[in-house]
Amino acid sequence: MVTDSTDLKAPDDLRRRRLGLLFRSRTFLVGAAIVTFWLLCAILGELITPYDPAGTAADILRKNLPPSATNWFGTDQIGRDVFSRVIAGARSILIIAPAATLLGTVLGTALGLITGYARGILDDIISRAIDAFLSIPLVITAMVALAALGPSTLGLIIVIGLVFTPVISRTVRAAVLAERELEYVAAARLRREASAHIMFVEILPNVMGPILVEFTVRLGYAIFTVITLSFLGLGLSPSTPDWGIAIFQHYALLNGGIWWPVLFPALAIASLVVAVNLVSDGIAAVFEQ
Amino acid sequence: MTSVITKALAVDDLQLDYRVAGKWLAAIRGVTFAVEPGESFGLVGESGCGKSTIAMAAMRYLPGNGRISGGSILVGGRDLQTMSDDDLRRLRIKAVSMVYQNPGSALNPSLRIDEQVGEVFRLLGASKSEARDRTGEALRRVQISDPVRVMRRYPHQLSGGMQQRVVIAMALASEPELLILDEPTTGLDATVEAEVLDLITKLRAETGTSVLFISHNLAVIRKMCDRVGVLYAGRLVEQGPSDELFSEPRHPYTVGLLRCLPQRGVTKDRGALDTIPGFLPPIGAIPTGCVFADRCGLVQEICRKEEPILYDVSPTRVSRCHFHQDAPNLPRVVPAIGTGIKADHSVKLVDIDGVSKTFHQDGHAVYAVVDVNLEIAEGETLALVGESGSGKSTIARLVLGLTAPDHGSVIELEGDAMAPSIDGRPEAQVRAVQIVFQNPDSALNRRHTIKRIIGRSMTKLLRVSPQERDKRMSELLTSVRVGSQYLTVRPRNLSGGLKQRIAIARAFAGDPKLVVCDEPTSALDVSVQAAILNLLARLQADKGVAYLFISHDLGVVRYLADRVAVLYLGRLMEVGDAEQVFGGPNHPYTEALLSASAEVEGDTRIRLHGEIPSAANPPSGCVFNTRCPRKIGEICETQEPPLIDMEPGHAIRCHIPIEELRRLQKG
Repeated sequence: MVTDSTDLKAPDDLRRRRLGLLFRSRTFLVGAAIVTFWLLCAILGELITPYDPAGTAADILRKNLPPSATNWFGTDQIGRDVFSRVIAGARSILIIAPAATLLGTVLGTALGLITGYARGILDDIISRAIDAFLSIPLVITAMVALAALGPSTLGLIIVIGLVFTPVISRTVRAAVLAERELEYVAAARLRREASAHIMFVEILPNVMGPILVEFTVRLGYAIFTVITLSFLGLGLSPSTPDWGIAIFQHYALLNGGIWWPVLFPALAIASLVVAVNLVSDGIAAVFEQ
Repeated sequence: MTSVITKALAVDDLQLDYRVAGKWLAAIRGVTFAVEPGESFGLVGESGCGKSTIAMAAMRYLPGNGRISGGSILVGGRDLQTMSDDDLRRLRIKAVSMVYQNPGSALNPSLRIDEQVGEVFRLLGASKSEARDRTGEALRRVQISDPVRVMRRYPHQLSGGMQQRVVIAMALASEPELLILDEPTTGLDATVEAEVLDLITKLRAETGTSVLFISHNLAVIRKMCDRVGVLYAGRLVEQGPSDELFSEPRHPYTVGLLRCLPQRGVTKDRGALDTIPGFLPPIGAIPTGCVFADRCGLVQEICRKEEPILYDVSPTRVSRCHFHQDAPNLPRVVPAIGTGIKADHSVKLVDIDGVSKTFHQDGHAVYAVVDVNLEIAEGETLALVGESGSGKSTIARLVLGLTAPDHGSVIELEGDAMAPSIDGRPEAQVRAVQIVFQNPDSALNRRHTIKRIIGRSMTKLLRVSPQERDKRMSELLTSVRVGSQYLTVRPRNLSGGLKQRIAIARAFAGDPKLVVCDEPTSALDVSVQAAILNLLARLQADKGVAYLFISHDLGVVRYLADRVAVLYLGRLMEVGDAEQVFGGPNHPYTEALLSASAEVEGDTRIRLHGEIPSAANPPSGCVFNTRCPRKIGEICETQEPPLIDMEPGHAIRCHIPIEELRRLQKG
């Protein structure tokens, strides 16, 4: 008997093809370039800033100077260089937001897999609890939790991660509900695989696409949430170079015509959020093909 | 011959490309054919040969990545490609209509039927009330008996057959010159298909509309078309009157296609099905010489060097083959030797005893399976047939333990009762019953390699060591005729036929005693179907496995089944040896199924009308009485007939005495 050997279609590695598409997407490339820029700022920090972002004792003599050749973005109310603080401020946000999103994604994925696969009473209970939880504005939940925990980087990560968990679990659950009806799941049941195996080994790899897209979308929101919380004075110690704290500390000066300590951190936030969303759109477009 | 102007559709030297990954690839290369006024012209070929592409091009509906790079398409003498958008719109309203495969997605789910069909008449200039009246008329014309009720419904509230009638009513609303039907009955049950085809024939006789009929189903094309064109890899390889072309094909591809179909009188023990070796060339591949050369049994030196012209076989027929006169002598690829093994029904493997399954939906009880008794012997194939909704797949799921039957149902394997759920079954029983699903795309985990898919089943079911597993895996792959080079590949890199072989290998990984085959070939092309059926027959002969075979294709059932069980509304209506069931006398429902399958054309035909009643509210007495063409009277409505043994091994559930059935069904 003949063995079919001519039947192998041209080996098209899906992952490589998707990467290829990604690197041809202008949306993705622009977003990735901006994110990379901020990542470099976060990593290098003080090494590349013209002044010490923490400031020196002498700074107080040069407070509230407008942008100039020596201080490109001007100085703030205690004389620190705004440009240096914007560069250094990338660090806190680029640690907290991705870590919190990752935490939320991991927990949300697990929860989504369990509710989507088990269905029934367990799903009903958890899903209704999530509905109730989601009816409270996220920032308020986070504020209450942070007020109780006290400000710290780790606290922020955990609180934002937990707040995001139910949102992500819903997306994952929807994907799992469609996936669990496919026959490969029935085939796994027919060799009596454990539920955990079916969820994490059989189904999970097939829902990674939506999870990745959800991760990038949530990352944008996480940046926003971190900034909002630090603007509200919750989260980090006030001396940390942080965009949200900088805006919080200086927005009262706007009336006095001192706009630079607020505008430049705000622009930094906007550019990062837009960039993350561009990356997210680029990835989503590739997965939807 | 009529001139180009008066032809309903004239396709001349059509060249069509698709843009794939930035490159233009030729999909249709130099296709020429014409549909005369009032004629029905068929295009056949396997998937990927370009049938639908031509239909789309004729409507100027090509997707954004398609372009016509040469030749012309004229509809009633008008060139759609150069027409202004306004003219095109008017032409689509008035002169050309199209009916697609899936009526569910052709209808707007959020518009009621009266709004939807009425819209067509409004476009044609009717007033609102006039449109309403004409909608009712149009629905009556497609034999919808209660148009007023149907008009108030939304598409999802209608059955598939009903939806397709509505689509046909819309298509015919403007009395078009040309009607394009693209696989119009492919998703429908055989009984409904037969009805829709009858309807199309009748409407064609009434209106004189020209038809371009596209189908992969040779029997349907043969029945519906005056002339036929056979497409292969974007080339027209044969064309002629359908009777002649199908009875005396003159191109090796047509010959091969017809040979792949199970023939009457040939069963698995008596002969293997022939197949077409190799694969369709990928889109864009332009071989020098004949497109079919790589797969042709008659191939000669010249075929690879020089593309054949369309030779005139007779005044009305052409064939693109250098050796068209030899085509009928195409050598067989698979020797015509059957398995030679007749299942003996002596050793009982599975006993399905008084099995019922009731689902509860929104407070209603839905009786999916009602008191079914069946036995499957070792090494035999029991086929389950019936329309969709008859309970075939539910029975399979009950046997597999994926769904738990109602209390009191007993399913035994080798004399031991099986737990209702797979989770409660001992390992030996889990191993013993496995399944091949209909669609290998969703049955194989697309993220896992072939090695992982098959290996995991072996490890889990047989608890073998990795060395033992690898050894068994290579034996298993050999027995399903798949090379070991595929082990590291993921399913998406395989063709449909290869994927199904992998799915079969997985089902056999734990040395099962019973394999459920749920429509295992209905997603495949005929040439691939033939190879899969051969494989299933061979595996059964070698391993002595029994099959519970679910199929709507009676040709396939006749080839593979030893015994046949006919289900209607979850009840067993007839069961018997395949020869008995196919030979008759039959239950009137079986009779209707047999007569609906297009291959028994010319026999006394009975038709089922109406729809399968709801399983939540089954008719009283004999559940088939509402549709039975041989209903004898009140007794059918009041009393459920028992399943009576008519001859050894052949039982029928009907009030009509057996002698009477025999007499009625003789003519």
